[in-house]
Amino acid sequence: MREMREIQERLDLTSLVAGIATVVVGTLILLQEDGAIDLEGGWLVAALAAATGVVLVASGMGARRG
Amino acid sequence: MGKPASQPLRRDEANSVVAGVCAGIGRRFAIDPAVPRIGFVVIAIGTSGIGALAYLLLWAVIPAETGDGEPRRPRRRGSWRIATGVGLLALSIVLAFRQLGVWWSDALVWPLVLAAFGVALLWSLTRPAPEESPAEAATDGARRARRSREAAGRFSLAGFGVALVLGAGLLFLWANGVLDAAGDAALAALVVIVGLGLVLAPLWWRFARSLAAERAERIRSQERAELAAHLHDSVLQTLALVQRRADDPSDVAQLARRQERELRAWLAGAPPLAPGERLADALRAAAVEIEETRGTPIEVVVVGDCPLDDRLEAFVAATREALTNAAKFAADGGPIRLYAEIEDARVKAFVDDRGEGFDPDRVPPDRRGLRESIIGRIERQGGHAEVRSGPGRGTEVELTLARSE
Repeated sequence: MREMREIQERLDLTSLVAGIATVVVGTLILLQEDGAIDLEGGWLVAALAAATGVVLVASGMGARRG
Repeated sequence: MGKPASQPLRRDEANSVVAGVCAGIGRRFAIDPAVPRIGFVVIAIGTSGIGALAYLLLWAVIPAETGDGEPRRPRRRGSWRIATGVGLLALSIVLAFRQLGVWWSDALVWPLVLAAFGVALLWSLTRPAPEESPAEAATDGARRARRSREAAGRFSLAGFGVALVLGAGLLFLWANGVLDAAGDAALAALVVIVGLGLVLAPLWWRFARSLAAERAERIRSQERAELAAHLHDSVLQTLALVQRRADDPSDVAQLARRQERELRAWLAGAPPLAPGERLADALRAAAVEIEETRGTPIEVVVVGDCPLDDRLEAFVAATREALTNAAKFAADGGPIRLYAEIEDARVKAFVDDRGEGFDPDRVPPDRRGLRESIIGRIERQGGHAEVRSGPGRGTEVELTLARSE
């Protein structure tokens, strides 16, 4: 229980979410380059906007939590 | 000019235009912040707006530093990042619908999206400003700086919101061909307006800042005048009275104590007492009344509060009687102490003095103050009163009463 709390205290929410978002967007671009999926420009912009939005929300919530 | 390069990268909110990212970069690398600002604008235009997302990401990941060590406002921390993030998520959903073909028309949706952002921005400005933190309240400079920044920020945001709504209207008209009739003239007018906007933007920004600074200065001088008036009406008047009654130490002590109480309440920003409505205020008012009539100092600590009802009025009356007894018989033992706890289920009061004390079993039957006005009064309301005393030990009266459902 205490270990879980220590992990939670050490965890930087913004970095975690930014990392996951980068991995997801990177994977999408990789698959696109590989030809496995066919992403049009609009989809890529939507994905980038969503990734940035999620990171901003996480950052704002992290700041609010202190 | 700038701070040494060994300083960590921080957003400089004190010199920000949007979120202080470029100002922070400029300070970190000891360059003019205009350089990164122009760089970001060029990148954003060159990448059709996608580059602007980089700015938002930097906003999210670079921690803020206000530069002058001024405390940050705790209540709205992160609000803008959350609002922008939610806006971007909404935008991504709109884009996804567009890709899926669930779409009316570009001519309708994009103006609507723009107008919605503008209205949301304007709507957010109608919220009342959050209360200042105790640290800000204590520092006049910090308060002024915050108000100045806030007013400039609100002014700029209002302008941006209005521009978004107007832009949305123009975009709708243009996309639906209404502006075609005006043709080149409309385009030329738009270019001139944009050009003028770019030229006048720094002047406008400076004007907004100076307007806000002037307003903050006016508020400051009003506060100073109020402070001077309050000092004249209270402290100076009391000092004059003290000089006049210098031959009566108890009178002087009472005056000083009253002034101290009033000054403390004023400094704490406490509202005026409402002894007819709230239990805590009724207990405090009872203590003040006895202190003033008997001239014995009473230290009051009340934890919690609740509305006053008939049973609690009896509780206050019993406490007042205990205080009166202490002031009457134990005034030489130093200050009397009243400690009250107001909880959801019950209320409790302790009246404590360091007088000579007495043997409760030997109180003559004709002395009805203790038996009737304190113990009897509390027990008639279903409560409990206990008197602990002994010769040379002082007296403690404990009153307990369960609160009504």
